[in-house]
Amino acid sequence: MSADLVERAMAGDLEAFNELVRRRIDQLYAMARLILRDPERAADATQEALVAAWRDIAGLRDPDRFESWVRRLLINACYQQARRDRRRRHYEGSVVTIDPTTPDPAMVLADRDQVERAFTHLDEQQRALIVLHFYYDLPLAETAASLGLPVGTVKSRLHRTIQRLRTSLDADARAADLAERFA
Amino acid sequence: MIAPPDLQRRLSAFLDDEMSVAAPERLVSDALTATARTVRRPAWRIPERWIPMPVTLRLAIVPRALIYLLILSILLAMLAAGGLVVGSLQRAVSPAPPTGVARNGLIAYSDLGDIWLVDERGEQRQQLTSGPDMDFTGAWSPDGTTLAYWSIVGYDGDPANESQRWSQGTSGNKLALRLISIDDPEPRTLASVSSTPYQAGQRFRLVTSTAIHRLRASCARGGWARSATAQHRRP
Repeated sequence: MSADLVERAMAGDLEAFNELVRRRIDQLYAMARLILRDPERAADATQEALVAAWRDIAGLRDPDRFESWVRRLLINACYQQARRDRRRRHYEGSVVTIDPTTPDPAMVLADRDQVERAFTHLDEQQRALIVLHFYYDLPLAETAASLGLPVGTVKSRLHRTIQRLRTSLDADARAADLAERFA
Repeated sequence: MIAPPDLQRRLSAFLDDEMSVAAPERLVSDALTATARTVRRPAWRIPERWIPMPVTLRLAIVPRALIYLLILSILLAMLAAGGLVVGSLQRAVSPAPPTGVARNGLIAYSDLGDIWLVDERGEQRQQLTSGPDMDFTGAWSPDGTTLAYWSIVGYDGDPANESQRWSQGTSGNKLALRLISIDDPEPRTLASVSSTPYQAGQRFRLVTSTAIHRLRASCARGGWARSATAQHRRP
């Protein structure tokens, strides 16, 4: 039971915490990589968040809030990583596994690239917002709590982020259309 | 804010794909090693230690004028209490002497502008003061040897005119405090005041170096000062 592990970790059981780490680290790392768009910095941020979680877990008031609490630690660690090296920006191009049952793998790949480019144009806070709201399906209030922001601020930021995504996707689509036309 | 369905679908596909990435093995081992070396912070505790410190209480709501009024009331109450204590001490030290009985048991009274002595049976009537001044009853000293009394110097013999002049402040006469001893019937003037308009209850306080003779003059409305009392007190 995850709650049992959390309670044991709160009591100082390192093995229980390690088990929690093994269960959550993939998702935490993936989230950090989405926000930072850099595997090395994502690994650093994940490790920082886990260390902070072990250091402060005794002060966690509600064991059921462990998931969201670690997520918030990770988001803060990502923000710190982003602040540390704003100049170092190299983006990862991931290898996508194409499902052979998909009608047109080339179209799927192109579409994914477009979304990825638009996503990369967002800043770290906007990416964290997208992950929390669209991947974890968190309502606005919970998203705001995870980001440590007022609900109104999250609402307006989400609106601007989606607008920016749409603008990037539209611009990318127009550029592809023009390239195809003049090819 | 709801994203358009098309964008939401494409975004979800991208996020699902990205979130399926596994963490490197090295990260898992590094994270476990780092947490093993990290010292945990203690849990939240309710502070139980009381730190002594000076605290100044300020009444922010009470207006300053009210505070001044309160302080003034306290001071006045203290003064009144002090006066009561001093007054009771004086009375205890020097009880009020018999005002009408001399050492030899005679009673002083005023009649026809002079002071007379008489025994309790109304006999042995003898005149203590004489002369044109109007003398009226005072009080005996504690040892019963000396009488302090009022005397209007320059009295013309008409009580009605004199009363009117005194109440209007037009009398040229003086009101004198005099002492006379039963052993030496020569009056001695301690102090005197000029004619001024006075009212009922007005106090004349004449102080000498040997004793305080406190006399209270009273009069009926628009009439003559019908009685006066003198009280001997030790300084």
